[in-house]
Amino acid sequence: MQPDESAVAQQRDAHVPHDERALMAAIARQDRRALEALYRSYYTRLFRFAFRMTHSHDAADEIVNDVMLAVWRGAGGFRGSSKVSTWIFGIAYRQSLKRLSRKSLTVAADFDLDEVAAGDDHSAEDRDWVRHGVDALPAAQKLAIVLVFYIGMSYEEVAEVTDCPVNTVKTRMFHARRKLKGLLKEAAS
Amino acid sequence: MKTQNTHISHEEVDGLLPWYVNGTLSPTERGAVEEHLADCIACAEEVRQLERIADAVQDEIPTPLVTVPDGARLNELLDADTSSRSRRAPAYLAAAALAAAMFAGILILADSTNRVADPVLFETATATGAEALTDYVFDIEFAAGVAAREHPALLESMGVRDAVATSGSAAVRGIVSLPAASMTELQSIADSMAARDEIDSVRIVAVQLPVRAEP
Repeated sequence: MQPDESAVAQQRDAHVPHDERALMAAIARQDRRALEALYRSYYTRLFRFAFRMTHSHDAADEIVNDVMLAVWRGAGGFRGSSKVSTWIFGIAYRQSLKRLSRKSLTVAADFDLDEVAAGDDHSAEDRDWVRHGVDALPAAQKLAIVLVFYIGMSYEEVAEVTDCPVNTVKTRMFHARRKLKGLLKEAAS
Repeated sequence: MKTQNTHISHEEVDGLLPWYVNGTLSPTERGAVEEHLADCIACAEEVRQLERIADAVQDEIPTPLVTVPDGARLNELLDADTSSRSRRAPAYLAAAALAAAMFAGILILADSTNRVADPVLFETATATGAEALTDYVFDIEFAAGVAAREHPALLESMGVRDAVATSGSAAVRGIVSLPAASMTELQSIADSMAARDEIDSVRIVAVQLPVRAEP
C-alpha cells in the first residue's frame, strides 16, 4: 500500500470503532466500514486456520469470505455472552466442518506412510508425520487439534466454539493424541 | 509468584496436558499439573510428545506470508446478499395477508431434487392477486455442529415460520410467505438460504395457493 493510500485509509477509518464489541454493534447496523475493519483484523488468523484445514489457498480465502458474510448477516444475533473471537471462530469451525463433510477438497484421509519422504532432517520428517497424521484424523478431532495447537484456544473456548461440553473436547483430544502418538512412535522406529 | 497447588488425579492431569502445552491453563491448574509432572515420568513424556505435535502444527504457514486482500470478493458477496434480501418480503407481512386468504391446499412441487417441478403452478398462484402472499414450503437441513437451540432464531432470521422438525435428523419443514415469485426468484431465495454457514441444504417442497373466499 502506498503512503498516501495509508493516509486515506486512516482518515476513512477515523470513525470506525476499534473495540470489537463496538464493531459488532456497528456491523449489526449494516456498517460496511466496520465489517472491513473486522475483516482486516481477522483475515490472517482465519486464513491460517482455514488453510490448515483445507490446504488450499483458494478454499481458505473462500472460507474467510463466507465467515465474514455470516458475520454480516448474523451480527445482530451476537449477544456478547462470549468473546467476539470465539463467536467468529465458531462460525469458521462450522464452515470448515461443512466443507470437510462435503469432501469437495481432497484431504489426505488415507495417507500412505510410504509417501513420507525419508531424509536427513529428522525434525522436518517428524513434522511431516504429524501433519499427515492430523490430516488423517476425523474432522472433529482434527479441528480440535488445530484450535488448540494452531489457534491456541483454552478448553473452555474450544468447547464454546464447537458447542460441545468440555468433557467431549477432552475426549476428542484424547483420541486424537492417541492416534498421533502411534504415528510418532512409528516415525521414530 | 507462588501458585496455589491442588492435587488432582493422573487422569485429570493427562486430560489437561494439551492446554498445559499451549499455555492456556489457569494458574491453579498449571500449578497442579507441574506438581504432578515432577513425579510422573509418563506425563512428562506425554508433554514432550505434545510439544512435538504443537511444533509441527504451528509452523505450516508463517503469518508473514499471508497478505490481506483488498476485500473486493467480500464486497461482491455483500452486494449480492443485499440484493437478495431486498427481493424477499418481510415475514411479518404474512399474517395480514394470510388472514384474508383461504388455502386451496398444498401442491407438491418437488420430491427428490432441489428444483421446482412445474412452472404452471406459479401462474395459478399469481392469478389470485398481486397483493396476496403465497406460502412456500421448504425443507431445511442444518449444518453439522449447529445446536438445536439455535434453530428457532435461525429460522426466524430467514422468515421461516410454523417449522416442524423431522424426527431423528437436523432437518425441519417450514413455511416462508412471499409475493408470488418466479421460479428463478424462488430458487435464488432457496440458494441464498442454503449459502448460510449454518444451513446445509434447502429444498423447495410445495406451494400453498391462496384463493379468495367465495362471497
